[in-house]
Amino acid sequence: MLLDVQGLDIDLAVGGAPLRVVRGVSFALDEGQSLGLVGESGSGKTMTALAIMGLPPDGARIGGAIRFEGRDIARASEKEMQRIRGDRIGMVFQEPMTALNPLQRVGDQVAEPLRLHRGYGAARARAEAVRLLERVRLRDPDKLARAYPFQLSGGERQRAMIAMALACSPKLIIADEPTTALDVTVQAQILDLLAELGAANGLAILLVSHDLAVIARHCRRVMVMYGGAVMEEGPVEAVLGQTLHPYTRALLAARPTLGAPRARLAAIPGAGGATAQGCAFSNRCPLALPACRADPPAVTLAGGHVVRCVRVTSDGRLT
Amino acid sequence: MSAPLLEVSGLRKAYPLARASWFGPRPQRLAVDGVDFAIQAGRSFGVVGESGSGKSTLARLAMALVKPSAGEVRLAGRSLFALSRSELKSARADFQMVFQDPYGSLDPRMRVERIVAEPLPRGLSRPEQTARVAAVLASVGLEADAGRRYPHEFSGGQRQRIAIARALVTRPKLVVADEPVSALDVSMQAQVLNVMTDLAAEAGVTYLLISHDLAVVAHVCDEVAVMFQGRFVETGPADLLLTRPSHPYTRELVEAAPRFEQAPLKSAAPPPFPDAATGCRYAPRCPLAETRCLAKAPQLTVRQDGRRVACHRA
Amino acid sequence: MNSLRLGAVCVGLLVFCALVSFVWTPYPPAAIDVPHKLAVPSAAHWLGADALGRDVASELLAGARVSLLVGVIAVGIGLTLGVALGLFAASVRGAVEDAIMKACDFAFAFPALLLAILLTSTYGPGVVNAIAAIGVANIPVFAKLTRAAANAALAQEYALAARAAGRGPLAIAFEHVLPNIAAPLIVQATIQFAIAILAEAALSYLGLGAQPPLVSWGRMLADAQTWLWVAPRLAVFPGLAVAFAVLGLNLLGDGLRDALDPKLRARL
Repeated sequence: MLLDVQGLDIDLAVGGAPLRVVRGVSFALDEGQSLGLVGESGSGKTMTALAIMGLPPDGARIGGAIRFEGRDIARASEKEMQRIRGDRIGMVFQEPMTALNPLQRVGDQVAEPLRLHRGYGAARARAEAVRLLERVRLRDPDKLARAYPFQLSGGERQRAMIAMALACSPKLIIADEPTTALDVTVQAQILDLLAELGAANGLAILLVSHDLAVIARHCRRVMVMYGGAVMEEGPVEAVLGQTLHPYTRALLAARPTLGAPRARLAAIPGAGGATAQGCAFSNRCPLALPACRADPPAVTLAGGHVVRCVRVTSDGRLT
Repeated sequence: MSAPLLEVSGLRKAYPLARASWFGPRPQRLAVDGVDFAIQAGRSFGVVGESGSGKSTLARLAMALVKPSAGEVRLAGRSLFALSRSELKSARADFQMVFQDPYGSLDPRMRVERIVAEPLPRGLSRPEQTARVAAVLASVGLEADAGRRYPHEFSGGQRQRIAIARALVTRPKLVVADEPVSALDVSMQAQVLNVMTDLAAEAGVTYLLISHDLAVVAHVCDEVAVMFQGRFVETGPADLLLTRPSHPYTRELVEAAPRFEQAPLKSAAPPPFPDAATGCRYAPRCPLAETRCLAKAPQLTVRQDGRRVACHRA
Repeated sequence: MNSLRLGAVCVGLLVFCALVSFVWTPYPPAAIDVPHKLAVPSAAHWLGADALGRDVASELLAGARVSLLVGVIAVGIGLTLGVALGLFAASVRGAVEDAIMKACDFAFAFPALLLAILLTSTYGPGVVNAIAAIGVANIPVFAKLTRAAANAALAQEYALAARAAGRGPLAIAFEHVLPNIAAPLIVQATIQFAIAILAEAALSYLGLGAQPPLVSWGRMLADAQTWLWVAPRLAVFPGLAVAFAVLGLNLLGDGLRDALDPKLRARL
């Protein structure tokens, strides 16, 4: 197993009392697989991704295990993580404008991981960078390599980021909201590119997004998070075809889709904030019961579809 | 048919770019290149396009925040750019704007009440102001005491609702919304979109909605225009356009819209003329491009079903 | 103790000394008492006496008055005129903005000291001219800072929203821009305050600032020069006073910057 996360807990020190922002998250990802983490802001999805990259915020306490290529990296030293980042794990962030150094040419930035982790010389790294830019379907890769980030469009910059992430042929790509800042047409292209490159190179892809439709389109498996806990997970067809968890249903109903009747969207009542005890969604759930004050049981259905809700029966019905 | 609420004709806006050489001419970038449309009261109008299409510039032109290089914007029959400073100021009560960034469009140092009351005319008494603000905050689903708090105490979706409240406090006829939900999570998007559609139904607000997200535009608007590189390539009723798109770009947008199905890893036919530099602006990306598309740029022409399309092949 | 508190304490002490000196000093500050000249620190003269028998402690307290006065008025001039100029430049933009900023750059080329010498040689020495010179030298500093910060604020969408609401440039400048750029201005003001005190000391040292019988730390330093080998303490005490004031103000400025900035950027 390439990536194995077991019982991940993350506590942040917020004004005195520690706040548990991720609780009991477990999943496994093997080469060639794609997993989407979906949830609103505050759901803990980004924190989970950051923890895997070894970039939790200062003062965060991590419980549980994150095993990458057999080693527990949850408590690895910064030096060890620096060796892994860029080399074995590639990262693509949301804002390409701020993730790329505005004062450095694009080609040099793409070449950087090669020089750092593979010890390439300047010329060799630059040549390889141009090849990488071509692989991410950028036109005029030579010209682009010599350009600065501000001269590229949002989509081009994101492709450059993907090239940078792929430079050392990593085993795992973590993409945190990679297309949120982009237009719809470009979004589709970038996500298609990621999926294609993933399939071609046997990469594992962990895609984090707040948009279920984006995840649905490009990942094989999905994990729905709320308030730091996993609500529902499983193969995309199963989770979308047979949506059981009230939160996932709410997410699906909240999104306007083309061709849908122009009725009011089902907005989730209340505002953010997870319940500390029991099911994280219980304070906003339209179907909450007193039993929700205890941790909900994990109901496993066919095909690895797991739902954490007290109302879901073992034969896949929502009572 | 009664006079349109907003009428735009021949609108053009050019921005000067850096000179290539010291004595050469200053190249221009045509952000908006000849746009005509009319919005009827009660029929919300959406403009869809990607970044760089000029839609945000169009929004700012419609709001008379930017002066056009050519063309006219008429609100309820009055040409906005022909008005004097004070006439325009008082006319602004009739048309307001909601901006994209819920974090940047509200002054962080002001209380919500003051922010929402800003568009109100100066002569209004304090109690009258307070009453109007409270009423409009209620209409967007915020509690009355929200007025005393600061923007940073609210979530993105709530802030956008505050922005909508500010836009509505003068009871405008037209609200221009520039990507109002793009910066929000899906669940907050739903809240804000519901507020917008409710207000359209109950308070008779007409929107000019700018977005890159087709689904959002389709949800709120009755008429849609698809914008590409400064021009409209297709306009018509929303349902018609988005279920049976005519123009290849509209089709591209419809296909790219996120849906709850696995995307087929199909490869669309590659465009035959990717380096085209003449004729139709969309030709370099168009899978249906032909030589006549490179020879002459198509104009927006009215079709049988009432929509307008600018395409030789449609 | 963090910078803010420490700085506030130091500056508070300074203000306290200045205020107290109006009501009481061990001896009248300018009282000449030649029999006791160059007295060493003792119970009678806590910090000793200078070459004319004036009590050092009293002079230090009274000198605080001048330093604070100079600081407040000079920075006040710089703030009001500089901020107004900067806001104006940022609001009108274009050639006018460029012209104003170039003028500020030009003004930077002249040290305040030179300006002070010019003014005092034309209008005569004195603390008023010193304040005027330092004040005028402050104007370009605040003008440039204000313009840069105002441009950033005006680029924000809330400024555009205010225009869409029908507000004019004056209203936007005062109601939206100014509150949002106040933090860096306040911090700069404390820095300029410290610089003003140093400048006044330098001017008085040159004989161009406070004239007798007005007491100033700078003048004390000037007088102490002749007696440096005999009684170095006469230079040390006013020097320490200046250092203390400058340090306190800088700490206050640092502390304020830390206290004010993160709150501005606070987001949910």
